[in-house]
Amino acid sequence: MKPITMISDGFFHDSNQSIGGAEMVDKTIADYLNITSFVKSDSLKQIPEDHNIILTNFYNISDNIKSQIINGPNQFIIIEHDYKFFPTRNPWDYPNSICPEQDKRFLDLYDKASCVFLQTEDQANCFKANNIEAYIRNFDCSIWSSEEIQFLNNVNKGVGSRLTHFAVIDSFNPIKGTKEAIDLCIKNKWDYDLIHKVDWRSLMKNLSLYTTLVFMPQAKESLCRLVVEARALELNVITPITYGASTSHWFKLNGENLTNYLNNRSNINLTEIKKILSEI
Amino acid sequence: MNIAMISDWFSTKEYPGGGAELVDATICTELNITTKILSSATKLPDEHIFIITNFFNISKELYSLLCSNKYSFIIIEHDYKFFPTRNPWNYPNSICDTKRFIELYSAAKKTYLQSEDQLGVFKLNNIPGNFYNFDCSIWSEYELDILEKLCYSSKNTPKSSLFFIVNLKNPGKGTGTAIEWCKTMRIKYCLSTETTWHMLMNEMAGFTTLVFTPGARESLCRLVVEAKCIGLNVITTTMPYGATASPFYEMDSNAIIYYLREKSKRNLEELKNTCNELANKSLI
Repeated sequence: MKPITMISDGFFHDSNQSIGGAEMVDKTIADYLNITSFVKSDSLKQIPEDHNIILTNFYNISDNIKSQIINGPNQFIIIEHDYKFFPTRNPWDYPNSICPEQDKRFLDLYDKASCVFLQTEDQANCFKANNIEAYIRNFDCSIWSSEEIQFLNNVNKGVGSRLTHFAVIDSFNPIKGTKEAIDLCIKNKWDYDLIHKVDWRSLMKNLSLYTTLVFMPQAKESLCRLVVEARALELNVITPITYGASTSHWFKLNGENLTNYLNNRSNINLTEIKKILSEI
Repeated sequence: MNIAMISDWFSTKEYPGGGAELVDATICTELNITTKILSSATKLPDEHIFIITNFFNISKELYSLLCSNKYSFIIIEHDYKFFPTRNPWNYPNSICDTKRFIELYSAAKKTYLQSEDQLGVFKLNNIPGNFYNFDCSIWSEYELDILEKLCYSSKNTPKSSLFFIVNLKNPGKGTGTAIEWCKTMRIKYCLSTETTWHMLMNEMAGFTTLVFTPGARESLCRLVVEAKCIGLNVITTTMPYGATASPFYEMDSNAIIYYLREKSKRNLEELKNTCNELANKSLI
């Protein structure tokens, strides 16, 4: 297998990058494939010609990098964390989640990629409904590291009595729907606590103290690791059944049944990425 | 002057009934009512005043007697009996075009309702009568002491992560809908197993969340109020009804219990005073 360069708008090791689900997945992939070459998508750098490329977040991709990917000798795959062919990345901004032809973005990248990895059937359906030309593979899951899975299992085993209030994630990002979740709680007169995210591990520990998460995303999530992790911690999740994880067949699982599934799928997906990269 | 209670049926050990029967039992205890008459009866005893509670199956004879103005009676209205189905939600905008029991409401000295929401539906349908809003149900001191104890102790009670559904056979109580909602949301639930009120409250205190999705517009709904009293979140229909439309529903557990205690006392006093007034008038 050729050496690999990972290209993204931001990386988990950037001190000024907020670390969300996408960055955690990228880190797990990078660790698994021993990737040491990272290039920011808006940079002016030259990509080594003998490298294969994993393109993850590329919303801010520069003409320089895009041109190298499209016209250069490198083969590349895409790990699609959302819906970047929509100008807003959010299918819910468009009637029936259909993007007008003239507004579609990055079609050349999808078309030229050796493989575009999506996370759920729901996300894949949206790509199909919009006739995005690409060789698409569905992870049917995200990718969790074995350490993350172990951590979720350990936290879950250590849970004592749970709090009666519902949990709402206090996110500054409007598409995560903190305001809407609070409004729902107030409207229904549910007692709730706002959970602040310091880092992923403390968030999981805090979340495990509750029985129920209220999550009302304002953008169609391609998966949403948070609600999956909440179910892995045996929380109930009050959320619309209209996006990635919540519509997935395996979302009915919880606790260790779910973490076993996540672990298996993560291993399968990492192997699949490696296989595709070896073949191109 | 004696007071008699008329109802479609009365609570027994085998069939304890629901909220309406608990209210009736508390009224009987507090007003020393020992004469209980089934609504299917055809005669009424003399020298009594009557409290009519459930009367959906009232006999023609009893109905005529009560509407003849020869008897003094009040009504404790537990639902919406002027609707043929007793459920306003079966009718567009909760407006009924084939009203029942109009003469009975009209002849009653007072008809007691439980919430502003219930009163609103009576007004909307121009039901004649002298209405009084309890703005609450009636809980006994015994029941409130249990709720208070559970409210206090439930903070230290280990909670199940399952959602709780009361297993009720009455389709208007929406047990099937609540189960379907949980299944759709992939939420694991537990159906109640207890049948007596006290044991049901103990059982419910082991959970954080009640799912109750009534198919009929509740005049109040003691269950959701009791769930709030012992600290549960309640997932219920988005259409407001009796309790959920009441201001006290927004209070915290302790404040609700205090409110119920004060209101129950006042409502019982009101009933006693009205019965006394009716008794005095009858003597004159």
